[in-house]
Amino acid sequence: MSSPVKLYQQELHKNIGYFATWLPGAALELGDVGVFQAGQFHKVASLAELGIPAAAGVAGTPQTLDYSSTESTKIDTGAGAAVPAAVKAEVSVKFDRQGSFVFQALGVRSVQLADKVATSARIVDAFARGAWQKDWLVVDSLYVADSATIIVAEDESAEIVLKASSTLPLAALSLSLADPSLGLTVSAMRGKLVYVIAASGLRPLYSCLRLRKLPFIDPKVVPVRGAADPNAPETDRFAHASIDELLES
Amino acid sequence: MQLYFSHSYRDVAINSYFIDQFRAINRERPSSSTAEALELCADQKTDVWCVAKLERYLFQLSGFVSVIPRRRADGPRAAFSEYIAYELTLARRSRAPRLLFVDDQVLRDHRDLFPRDAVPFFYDAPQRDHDVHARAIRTFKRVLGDDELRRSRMFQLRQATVIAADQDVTTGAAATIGDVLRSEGFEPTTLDERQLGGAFDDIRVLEALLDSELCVFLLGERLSNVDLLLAMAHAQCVPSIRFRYDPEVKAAGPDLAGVVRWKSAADILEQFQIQIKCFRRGFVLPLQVAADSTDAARRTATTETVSSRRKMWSPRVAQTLLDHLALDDPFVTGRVNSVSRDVGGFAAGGDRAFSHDVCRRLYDEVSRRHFYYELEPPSAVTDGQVVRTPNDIDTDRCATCLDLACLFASLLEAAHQRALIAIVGNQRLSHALAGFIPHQEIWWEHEPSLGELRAALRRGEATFFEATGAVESDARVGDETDEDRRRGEKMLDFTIAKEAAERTLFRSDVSLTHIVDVAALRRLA
Repeated sequence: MSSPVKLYQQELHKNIGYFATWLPGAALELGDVGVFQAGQFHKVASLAELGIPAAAGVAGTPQTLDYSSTESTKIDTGAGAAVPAAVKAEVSVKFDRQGSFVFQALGVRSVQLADKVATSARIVDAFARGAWQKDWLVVDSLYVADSATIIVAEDESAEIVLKASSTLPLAALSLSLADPSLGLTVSAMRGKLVYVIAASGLRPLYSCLRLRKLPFIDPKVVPVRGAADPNAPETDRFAHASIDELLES
Repeated sequence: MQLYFSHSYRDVAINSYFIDQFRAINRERPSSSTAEALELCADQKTDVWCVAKLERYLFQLSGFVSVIPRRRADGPRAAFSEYIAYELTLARRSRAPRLLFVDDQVLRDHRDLFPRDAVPFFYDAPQRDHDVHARAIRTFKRVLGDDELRRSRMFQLRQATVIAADQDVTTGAAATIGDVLRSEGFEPTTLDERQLGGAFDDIRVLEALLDSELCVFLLGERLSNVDLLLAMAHAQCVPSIRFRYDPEVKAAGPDLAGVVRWKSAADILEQFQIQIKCFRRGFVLPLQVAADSTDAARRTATTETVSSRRKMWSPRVAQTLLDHLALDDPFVTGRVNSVSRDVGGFAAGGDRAFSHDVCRRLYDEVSRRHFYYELEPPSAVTDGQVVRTPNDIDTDRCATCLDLACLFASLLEAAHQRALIAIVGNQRLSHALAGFIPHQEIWWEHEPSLGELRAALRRGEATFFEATGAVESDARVGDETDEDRRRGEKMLDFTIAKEAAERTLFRSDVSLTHIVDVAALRRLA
């Protein structure tokens, strides 16, 4: 994985704690099973394909996410500028550092696997049968966005100019580059950039689980407390994957 | 003229109002009989309840002034501090000239507990009766001007009397107490129970008590003549340190009546050293060191640590916070047992809803105590902070955010929950939050970053709450609003406390200093 993408992944994870989907438009579904490869989630199967039933829980409340790297990114919406009535509004986004990014998403809902306790037990069972590999990851949670704009600079200096379908200054219409009603299209670009503009149905953020890597330290004395112990689910044998695992893959 | 100022430490605004009233009277043009100013002397808040010191000052000072505000209570009647109430009974017993200002609601609900000369005040607007209060202070000043009003207690400086029950452990302890008293410059005399046969009639025994600067009573397991002698000293308000041998005792420290229960030689030696240290500390004149009356009230309310039991935490090693969790502390076991009964035992569930319910009930258990928020005790150590144990919090009636985060971690762990403590901050602030991870949730194998904690909060895998929401504070402490505190009558509902903690963790100007996952650290230990 290139250094700029690493920077983008690190900064977003530092703020939100989720992994940024790479490439931003990559298709990802809850219950996907795979491995990290070159900084990306590489799907090998799904829970359903492995015979492990897994349903999605109720989606969370829609929210707006905006996590641009403000120090090295400058967004100029032309607010206050005198624009001739016949000229379409433009927005210029300038980046002066590798890995600088704009991440704006509207109508973002979080979805998670519904019953992690049961799913964990089935994965542990599959592992015992040799049907699950130790280093496999499962996507347990992701964000689905109604619309998202993600732009990542891969060069030290880069710029993208987006043109709206409206003639009004963008600042007067909307503060979000993810707003599809603006009809934004790329009119000019300088330097190397990865981008998706006001794309719908993206899964821009995800998290995944795996079986614990570190040996589970069993207590010296197991409490004698009966067979149905609600405090000892199989989820104890799982851990969230770390950002280092993704970046070093 | 110096006056014993008995007041509730937490009610800074009320205390400040009355301190100002006394200042105003002192500034009035003096008449010949009332020339001497009235100086309020207060017992600096410490972590030790020392009845002997209060008895000492009731005679040493010219009079007794008490301000008794209300406490929030679960029932319909207003409550008030049992410690102030105890000071008042000591003052009434000593016959000290007194002036009592009592919250009108407290006075209405407990009329029979207060003498008829008590002067009421309105808690929310004491200045409404400013004239009545000023008149009462002027009258009190005139009364105190009469030199013949009250004789000082006559005693031999440095004379101490130790009275021990006839049990091997208590007579053995008497020898130790005698040694400590000598090392403190006292001249102790020890009376054992066999010398008390005619305690009622033997005037020499009574005079030995009355002539002593300090008495020490070592009560046995059963009532004896030593208890009788203590009753006589108590009736005369003779400064006395009280110990009772109790092989079943669990908690250290004195009860409200000042009786310290002990079961080993080490216990009584430690507790006696604490009591004697506290006894020898003077009252303070708050206004002499403060900028104004509010500052004076605040300074007096800041706990100074006398007990050597208090443990220091070094922020350099976050994991050592585990040393400050006290699962078998009586305060913790009491609250946890109560919640266990309410939820039908901690084996009754293991999901998010159950963990949340347990935590909310523990939070409510602490809230019901109406402790109040306070900064940490001053310390000369710059790279550490004293952390109060649950028992200390119960004794002091106050706590810092770190004390409370440790208290809730103790409560949660004792309730078989997976406790978390997060310390967040920047260059200007450092704040501790308490939290938990329900059993079924999946965590990281490494110490999570702030971003990962935020993700856990978003997924509902962890819950954090503003631990200081369970105690009273006039102003906001964390990221709740002043309005939240006002609506909660100085405290926060558990839901509001959670929202406040989330606001703190999502602030863009803080970083995560420490995250302590108690269960994970226990496994590693």
